[in-house]
Amino acid sequence: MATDAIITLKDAAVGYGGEPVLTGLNFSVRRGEIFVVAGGSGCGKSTIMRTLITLLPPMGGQVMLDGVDLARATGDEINALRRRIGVMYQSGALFGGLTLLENVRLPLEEFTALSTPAQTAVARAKLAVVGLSADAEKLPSEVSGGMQKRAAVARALALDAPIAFLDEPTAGLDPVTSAEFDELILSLNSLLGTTFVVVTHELPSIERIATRMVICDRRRKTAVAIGAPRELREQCTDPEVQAFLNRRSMSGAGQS
Amino acid sequence: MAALWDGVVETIRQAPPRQAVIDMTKVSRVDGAGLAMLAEISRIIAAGGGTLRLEGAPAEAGRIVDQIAASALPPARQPVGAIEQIGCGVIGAANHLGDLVEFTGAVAISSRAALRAPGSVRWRDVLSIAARTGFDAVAVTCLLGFIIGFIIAFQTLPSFQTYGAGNMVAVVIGVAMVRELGPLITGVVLAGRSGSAFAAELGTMTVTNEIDALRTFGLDPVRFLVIPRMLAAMVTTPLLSLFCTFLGVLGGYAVLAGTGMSGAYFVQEVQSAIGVMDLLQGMVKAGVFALLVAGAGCASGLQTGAGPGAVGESATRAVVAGIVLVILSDGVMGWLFFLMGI
Ligand SMILES: Nc1ncnc2c1ncn2[C@@H]1O[C@H](COP(=O)(O)OP(=O)(O)OP(=O)(O)O)[C@@H](O)[C@H]1O
Ligand SMILES: [Mg+2]
Repeated sequence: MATDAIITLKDAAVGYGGEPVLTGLNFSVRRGEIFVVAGGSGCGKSTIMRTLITLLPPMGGQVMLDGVDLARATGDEINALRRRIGVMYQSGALFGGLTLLENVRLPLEEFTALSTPAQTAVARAKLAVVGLSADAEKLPSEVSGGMQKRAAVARALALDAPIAFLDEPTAGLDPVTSAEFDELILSLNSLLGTTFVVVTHELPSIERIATRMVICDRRRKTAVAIGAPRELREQCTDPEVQAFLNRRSMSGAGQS
Repeated sequence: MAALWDGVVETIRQAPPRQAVIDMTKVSRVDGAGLAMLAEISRIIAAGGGTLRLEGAPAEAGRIVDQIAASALPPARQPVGAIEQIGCGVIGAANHLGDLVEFTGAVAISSRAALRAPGSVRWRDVLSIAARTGFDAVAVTCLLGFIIGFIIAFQTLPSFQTYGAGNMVAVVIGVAMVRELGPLITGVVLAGRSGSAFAAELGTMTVTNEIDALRTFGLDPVRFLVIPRMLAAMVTTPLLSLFCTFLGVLGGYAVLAGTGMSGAYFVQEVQSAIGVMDLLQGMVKAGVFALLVAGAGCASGLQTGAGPGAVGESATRAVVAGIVLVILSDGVMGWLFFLMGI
């Protein structure tokens, strides 16, 4: 089992400028699974993701991504890694001066030998997958927040990277679009074998897509549970995990 | 409420009782401030080892009070002493300097790569930025040049006329505008318009993670965003400076024409004082200003911190740094040109 881990954290600490946000992280993501990072607002989910996508050096312990130790990697190794990951940021982070189509096409322009018409065709196909064919020529500022998120996912998937990181892809989407989104992730996962690391705290979404998940806690500054959602709900006795998975507030959980 | 708070809370603080009961049976509604006061009382009594009971209050009220009272306040930030402030300032400045060195290095590496493989430069971006920073600045630069040329002529004319050397003003205007003021005015306008614009653009991109997105695509922000901006500025600024210089000389003539000087005579006077080398010197200055202003703007944008004010701060820093750099480098270049005997 250990051999097919694509991401491994051993006693890792993550944070900004000497100030750890989460410590003692021990978990691995297996190749081909949909791994969910969950936890309350501000607990450090995005910080874990920033570390995994090589933008933030780990503060301690070991973080292995696709066989590379992020703390020791050389600049070239990091650059090579970055071409093997697709990222969707919480804020969308589309390039404001480019249309949705150009946004999706940009990584293709830079990293593939495809001709321009072929690049455009591929980019259009990606946009079609997320249901944005009709809006391809619009600027990010001309579409809704949910549409920006979908375009950002399309861009993250543009290069068919083997690992995709999505930070809260369904936050702020209506339940129907959100469910469609989950379907999309599931089908890409089974079709292309893409490994997904998804940050989310939407329970319905977690129930639909997560192979396994990690729950982080802001107060204890570490991961409090790792495993399949159902397994955690049935077996984990940690009150905070139960509170999270059963949508209760902690003070409510304390009373009953 | 304020009176009640000060009165009751202070009384209890001075002599915390061990057991306290607050009769809430006659209370029909309580607002947030009331709950906060109850929580404060509860906290004071608990700190003294006592307990507080709310009689006749609904269970939720008790729970909220407990929750507020139990929530640990973060330790108040220590006021920073003068020495610490100096220390933080020095560390901040050192970090800033380090970032600047790193930025300069990155620009140097990318420039070398651009020279080796000009095809890798995003010329389309260069063109659109050049149009934006150059074309749109023509009017304001020309206007400023004309006004300043006019003013200098107007102010110096009486003094020269006292010595009967009114026509010398043509020489003054020519030398001042071509060698000094044309490039300088253009540089300052560039700092105010484009330096701030570059900082705001790149700053916004930093705040919205667009720079991060570029990095994770393996695209170098310096090659992708900074080099095109520097190139665009370096193409347009010498041209703008030329326009500015020309309009400034024209402004000077507008005054002299009033004294009855003929255009041909004016041109002849100006030509006697300045040559091609002077014109070239002005263009070189403008190019250097462009490099510095665009570099400072982009560097400031990429160093943008977090928060809603960060982009504004970056833009301000870019303008100030740009103007200071323009004037400093103007002095240095003036001195160098003097040493070289140009
Ligand atoms: N650039 C930064 N510099 C310093 N501290 C930061 C920075 N970004 C976030 N933090 C801190 O790190 C902690 C975790 O932030 P993070 O963005 O990872 O939370 P999150 O779990 O993604 O929350 P959310 O669900 O609201 O997105 C927060 O306490 C925050 O104050
Ligand atoms: Mg987040």
